[in-house]
Amino acid sequence: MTCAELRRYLSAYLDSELETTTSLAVNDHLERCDDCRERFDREERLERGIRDQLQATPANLAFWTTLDQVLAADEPRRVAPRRWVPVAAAAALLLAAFGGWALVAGGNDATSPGDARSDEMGLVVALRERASDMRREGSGTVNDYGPMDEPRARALVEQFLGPQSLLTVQPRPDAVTPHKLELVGGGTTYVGGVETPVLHYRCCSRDVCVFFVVPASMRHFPEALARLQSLGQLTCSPSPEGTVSIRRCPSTGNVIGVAGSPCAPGIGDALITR
Amino acid sequence: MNPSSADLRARHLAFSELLAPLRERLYRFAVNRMRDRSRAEDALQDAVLSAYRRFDSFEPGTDFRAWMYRYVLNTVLNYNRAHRRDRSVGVDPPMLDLHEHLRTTEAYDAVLADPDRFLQQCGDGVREAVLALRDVEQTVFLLRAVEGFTYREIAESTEMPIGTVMSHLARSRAKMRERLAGYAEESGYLRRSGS
Repeated sequence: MTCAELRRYLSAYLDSELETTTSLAVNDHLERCDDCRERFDREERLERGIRDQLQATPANLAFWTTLDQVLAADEPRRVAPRRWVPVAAAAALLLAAFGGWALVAGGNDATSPGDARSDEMGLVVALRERASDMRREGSGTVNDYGPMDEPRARALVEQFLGPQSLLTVQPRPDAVTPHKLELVGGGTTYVGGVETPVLHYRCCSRDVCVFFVVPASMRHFPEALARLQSLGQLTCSPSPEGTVSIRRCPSTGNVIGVAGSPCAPGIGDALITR
Repeated sequence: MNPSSADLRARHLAFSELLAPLRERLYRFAVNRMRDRSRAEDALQDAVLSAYRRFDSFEPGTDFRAWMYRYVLNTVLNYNRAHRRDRSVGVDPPMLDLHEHLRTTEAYDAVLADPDRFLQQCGDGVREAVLALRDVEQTVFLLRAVEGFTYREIAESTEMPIGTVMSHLARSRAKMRERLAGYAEESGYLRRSGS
């Protein structure tokens, strides 16, 4: 084997991946050639040094502790494709609410208007950023979310809330201007492993609010409720902008919320209390 | 029929036991593959959850490490693709002319003259050099040089033929040499080392 041939095999030799015959030939050459042996030793030291540097990544115990909790709370299910934009606001809101984070209007939120990223990206980023925030806080985690058509959204809400008039509610008759609320779709998110419906309403042809239901059967419900009650209202930065009203349904104990800017005051309340 | 609580607990236990010895490596791999640690954690969480949800598709007795890494590799790749802002990252540099090639060789010889000293002064240079590789090259390089995978194990995890793995590995090492040599030149290490 010549020195030039040896250089060709050096990388695989360092990796102990040469077949026996070639490996023996390399061994033989290295024993006879001081230059190549010195080169090999230095390459090996460099490779080892690179490995040591890249292996020196400090472990993050908190990350695994949180992930253990997420896994323990998770249940096998189909993962829905992620593409429905308004759900992002609600899912981010849920994350914010259950992590005790208030979203600040006009902040640099990942889904704020004018963000150049695609809608899908905004959705993913919003969720990931909130999840990161929550991990840092050591709180619960929303694991997943996905699109849902209107019938499925309605069925889920009925399942959680019972056959109420929440889905057919109209704005208060005493509102100054008549407004028409329209259920245009929905999605699901998971809080503590519980599927949580998120509905998207439109008022006067504008995306005005996201309606979400947090079932009383949810694993972390007492803590979440206490937190929500202490907050009273949140300010929501992701579109639709505006305040978030949170109420507890008297008949079931479930938490019901509306995020967004109603066209007129009271629409959110009407939706909740009717 | 929905699985019972006992089934879910058993499933969780089985997955956790297989995952436990890989945790440190998976975490390190994700962090090394991405510039931002919190994004790496997000990607890793996604990957682990995805794997857990599809744990039923894992065949007991087969290589869990390769199976698990597939989820991490794909998730990290998708994250990097989706979030890539610096378009220059991962783009092959233009071919070196002869003069440049000689300079690079000279600089790399200076690096090799005392690898330990160079690496001590390199700071984040190594990590930057890895991150400047193309996605597939980063993956192959890290799995081999840092995680100690064999070529066959890399092939299984990346679902590439061994020959392709070897090509990517050779290219990634050549690029690492070039970048470390470039770093030696730009940082003044070459002058200080008297080469």
